[in-house]
Amino acid sequence: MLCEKYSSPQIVLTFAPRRFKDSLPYFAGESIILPGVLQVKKAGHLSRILEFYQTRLSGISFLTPAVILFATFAWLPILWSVVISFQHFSINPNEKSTWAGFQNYKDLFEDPTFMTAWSNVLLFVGLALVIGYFIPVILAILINEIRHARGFLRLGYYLPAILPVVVISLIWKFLYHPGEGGMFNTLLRPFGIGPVKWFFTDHMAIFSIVIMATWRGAGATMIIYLAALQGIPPELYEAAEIDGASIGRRLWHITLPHLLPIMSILLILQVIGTFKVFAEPFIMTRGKTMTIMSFIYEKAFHSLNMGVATAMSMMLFVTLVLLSFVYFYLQRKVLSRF
Amino acid sequence: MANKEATEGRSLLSNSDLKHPWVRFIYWLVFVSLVLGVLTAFIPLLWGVMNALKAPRDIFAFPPRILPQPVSNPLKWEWGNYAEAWQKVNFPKYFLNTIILALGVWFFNIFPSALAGYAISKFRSRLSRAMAFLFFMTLMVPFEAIMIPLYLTVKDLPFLGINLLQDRWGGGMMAVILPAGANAFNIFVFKGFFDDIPRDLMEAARIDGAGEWKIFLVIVVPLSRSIIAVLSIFSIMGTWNDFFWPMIVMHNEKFHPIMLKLYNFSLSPVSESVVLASLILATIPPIILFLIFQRQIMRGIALSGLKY
Repeated sequence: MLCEKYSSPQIVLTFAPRRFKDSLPYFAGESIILPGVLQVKKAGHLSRILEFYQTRLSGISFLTPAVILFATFAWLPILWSVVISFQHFSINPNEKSTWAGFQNYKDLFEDPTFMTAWSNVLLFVGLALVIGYFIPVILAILINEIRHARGFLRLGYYLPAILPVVVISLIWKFLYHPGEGGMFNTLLRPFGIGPVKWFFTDHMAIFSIVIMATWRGAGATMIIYLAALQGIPPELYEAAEIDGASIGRRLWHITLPHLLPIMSILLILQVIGTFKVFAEPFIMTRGKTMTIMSFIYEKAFHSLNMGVATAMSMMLFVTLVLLSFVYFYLQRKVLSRF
Repeated sequence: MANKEATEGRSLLSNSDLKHPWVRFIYWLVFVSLVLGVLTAFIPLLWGVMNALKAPRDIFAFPPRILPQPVSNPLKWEWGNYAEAWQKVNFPKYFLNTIILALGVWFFNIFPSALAGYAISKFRSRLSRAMAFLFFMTLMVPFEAIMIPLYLTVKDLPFLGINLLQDRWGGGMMAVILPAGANAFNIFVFKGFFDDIPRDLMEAARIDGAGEWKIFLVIVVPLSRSIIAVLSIFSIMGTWNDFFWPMIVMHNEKFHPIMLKLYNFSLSPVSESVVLASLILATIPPIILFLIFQRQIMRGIALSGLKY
C-alpha cells in the first residue's frame, strides 16, 4: 500500500530556486529541476516515513477517546467481574478482599431464593415466547397487507414502545388492581370471570407482567418485521399467483421463508433479553417477584455481598453464552437444509 | 423492468385477489380488528388520563365509571390532581435534570463512537482490526454481568481516584454519562456508514493538503447528518427512559432524572390519583418527541434490525 502511493513522483508546483540539490541530505529526496516553474520532487525516505506515521498517528488519535472509555468502563469491569466472583469481596476499603475459590458459587446454590429466581425467569422466558413472540409477526403480516391508514396503524402499535417503562409499569399496576374496581377485573366481569387477584402468586404475577410486556414490546419488533416484509420482491408473489397459488400457499412458501432469518435472530435476542428482565417486575411487585436480576441487585446493594452477586452474574453470562452457541449451532444445521 | 408499476407496492394480496367478495370481507374484518387493537394500545393512557381526574377511592370503586363521575361529588372533575402532581413532583426541575443528563449522554454516545468508527473504517491496519474485535466483544457481555464492577469503578476511578457518585460530579450524573461512551453498537453503525463514503472524496482532500482531522470534521461529519440524527434520537430516548443504572448510581434526590423521581414519588404517601396524574404528565414529552421524529425513528429501527 505504501509503495503504491509513493511510487510516482509527487509533483510540486513551486517557484523554488533552481539549484538546491546539493544542499539537502540524500534522504530528503531528489529534486529534478525542469525548465520553467515546475519542480518535480521524488518523495524521499524521510518524508515517506513522516507521512506514514502521520496517518498512523491520526488514526490512533481517533481511536484514543473510545479506547480510554472502553478500557475504563467495559474491559476493566469485565475482567474484574470474573475476579470478584472468586473472592470474598469487601466493599470496605480497610478490609482486604480474600480469595474464596468457589465458595461464592456454593453459597449461591444454598441460597433459598436462588431456585425461585431461576424458575421465575424460565417461566418468564417461556410465557414471553408463547404469548409475545408470534404476535408481532402476525401483526406485521396483516399490516403489510392493509392499504388504508397503514401509517396510522404502524404508529399506533409502536407508540407504547416509546413510553417510559416506569410509567407504563405503574399504570398497569393500577389496571391490575385485584379488587372489583380494577379495570381488567371490570372488563372480565361480563364474561363471568370473578375478580382476579393478578399478583397473588408469583406465577400469576409473571403472567400479568408478560401480557404488559407484550403490549409494550410488540410494536418495535413489528416494525422490524414490516421492514423485512417490504424487502420481499413483489415479482415472487405475482409469479406464484400466476401459477395458481392460493393466498395460504403464498404465505407459507414466500412470506414465511423470507421472514425466517429475521425471526430466528429475534428469537434468540428475545430469549436473551427476557433472561435479563428487571425493570417491569421490580416496579410492579417492588421486588417481591424474584428474578435473576433482582437477586443480583438485592445481593449487591442490600446485602452488600458483591462476591455472590457477581457469581450470579457470571452464571447468567455463561448461560447466555451457551444459549448463543446452541442457537448458532442449530441455525447452521437448519440452514444447511435450505 | 417492464411491469414495475404493476408490481409496485404489491404483496401477499394482489388486486385481483381483492375483487373476490370473501377476501374483501376478511380484509375489512382484519382492518377493523387492527384498528381496535390500536385503540387498546391507547386505552391504558386514556384510562390514566381519566382516572387522574377522580378522587382516589373512585379509581377502584365498583361499579366503575368511565368518565370521572365520582360517587361523592357527581361531575366534579378534579383538575386539581394535575396541578398538585405538577407542583409536588416539581416537574420543571426534574425535566431539567433529565435534559442535562440526556445532553451529556448524547455527547458521549455519539462522538467517541463516530471517531472510532471512522478509524476502523478508514485506517485498515492490524491495530484497528484488533480494536474492532475488542469493541465487538463487549457486545457479547450483558451489561448486567459487569454492573457491579462498573459501580465499583465509578466509585473509584482508576488513575484519577475520583468518586463519580459524589455531589460535585452531579450526584451520579457523570457516573451515567461517562460509561455511555463505551457503546460498541454505535461504533459499528458508524463504521458501516463510513464504509459507504467513497475513498476518492478523502483522497482528493488529502491531495489538497487537508490533515486527517480536518477531513473528518469538514467533510465526513456533514455527510453523516442522517445517521447522527438517528443515533441521537435513540440516545435521547434511551436516556429519558433509563431507570436501572441511574437508580443504582444516583443517590442524591436533587439530581434524579424524571423516571427515578416518579418512582420515588409513587412510593411516597400521596394519593393515587396524583400519582397517576404525574405519570400522565411524564408521558407527554416522549410522545411529542416521537411525533416529531417518527420518520427517523422508523428508519433507525429498520436499520438496526436489518443489519442482520
